[in-house]
Amino acid sequence: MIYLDNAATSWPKPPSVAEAMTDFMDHIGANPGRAGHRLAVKAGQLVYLAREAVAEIFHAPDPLRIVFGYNITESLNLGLKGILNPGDHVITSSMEHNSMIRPLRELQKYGVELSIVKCDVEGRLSPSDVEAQIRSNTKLIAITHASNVVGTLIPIRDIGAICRKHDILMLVDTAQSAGSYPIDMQRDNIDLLGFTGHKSLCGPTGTGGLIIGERVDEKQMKPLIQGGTGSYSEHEEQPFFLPDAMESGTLNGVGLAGLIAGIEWIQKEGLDNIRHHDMMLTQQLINGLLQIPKCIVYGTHDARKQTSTVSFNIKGMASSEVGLRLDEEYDILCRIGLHCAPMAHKTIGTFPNGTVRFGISYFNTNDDIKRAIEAVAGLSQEIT
Amino acid sequence: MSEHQYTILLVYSSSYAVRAEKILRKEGIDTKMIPIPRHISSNCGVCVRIHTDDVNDALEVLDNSNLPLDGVYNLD
Ligand SMILES: Cc1ncc(COP(=O)(O)O)c(C=O)c1O
Repeated sequence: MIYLDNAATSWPKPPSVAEAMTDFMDHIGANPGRAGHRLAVKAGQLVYLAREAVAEIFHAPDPLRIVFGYNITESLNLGLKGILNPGDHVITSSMEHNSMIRPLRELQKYGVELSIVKCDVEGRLSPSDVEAQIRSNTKLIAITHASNVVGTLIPIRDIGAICRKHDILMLVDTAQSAGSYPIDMQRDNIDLLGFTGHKSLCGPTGTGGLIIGERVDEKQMKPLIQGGTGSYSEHEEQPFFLPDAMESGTLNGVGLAGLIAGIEWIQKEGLDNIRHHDMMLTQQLINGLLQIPKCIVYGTHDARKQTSTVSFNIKGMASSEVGLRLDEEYDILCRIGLHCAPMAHKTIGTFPNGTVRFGISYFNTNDDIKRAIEAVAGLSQEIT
Repeated sequence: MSEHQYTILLVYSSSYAVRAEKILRKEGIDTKMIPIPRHISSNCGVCVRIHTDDVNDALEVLDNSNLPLDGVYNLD
């Protein structure tokens, strides 16, 4: 079987991830940050280690400015709803995932003003187009680092510099880039960074978070939920300090144990090596698909300008049929359709039919890509 | 002072307790995370216990690291 759905969730994971999770269940298990017995202390220490691992890989200012959550969908909701108030203006792009655009559409109902900057058909965004949308009440630019449909990278560092010039904040969705492309919160001028654990960070599902940079005044931010934190229990009001102000309820200790192992594995392999591997296979895939007469490949066609996600269609065959037949006849698993990003498909001209998407990981090989290209060529030969 | 006299450092939360422990241990100060004694606070969390002999050093180190303290209590 060839797994090419890594843009949705990475698989397989490094073996150390499941080992760390089993070890947590067998030997730690307790509630992090609540009781004071030795297992609870160990669980609390592990959660702190997870904060340190995340802070290191993103160069976050402070491990305690990381608010853990269930996934990036929750984190983007926290960032957007926590920062934006009626009357504020926010700018986003036309390549966003629904986890960005839906909370923004919701906020619009309550009087938040929204501008959507159009990307070109390859999914590229021009920073000057973004800057042109800034108004006197613009508070936030909320943007993905890379498209989950075509992989095109967005120049976040330049957009972040524009934000600083105009004294506004930048929120970045790193779902598609974290763990496979270098991200540095300080150098890339990121104020709020959402991440999800189950993609290239190699962790399990149920892990993610929002990193709150130092330009953000957390006292002006609203939490999504309130509840138990294990701190200041005598007070009925939510604590004022991070992460407790935004992070209520028992954390996913077992998941965070896995996330630490995933991040440690990335550090050991080396992000540069991972990126190099992904680029080689991505270019191999793009070049191979471009050779197939009936195949349309979307995006930049340049692995240096994108992540390891490639979208294509076979002219005359629905993406759903391609996906099913790749699975049943060629043992290749991928994702088809709109990929939770209808606006991105409108931008690249593939709405409402969508595309077939291959998402490559460090565990894929040249041979996987060769066989995937042959499979697509085989299917396309049936079209007359 | 006997080395069996302890002092409790109250911090915001268990995350801050882990951080305080890391900072103090790096300076060679012996620490243990324990449940907050009920007579000090009704908080359900943990605090950092150190030897009373180390209090001055500990407070200086934590202050230099900008780690906020909620209180310092000697245990009898
Ligand atoms: C760009 C982008 N943003 C957000 C998400 C949502 O991720 P999650 O389902 O982990 O919240 C995804 C993945 O599906 C994505 O690709």
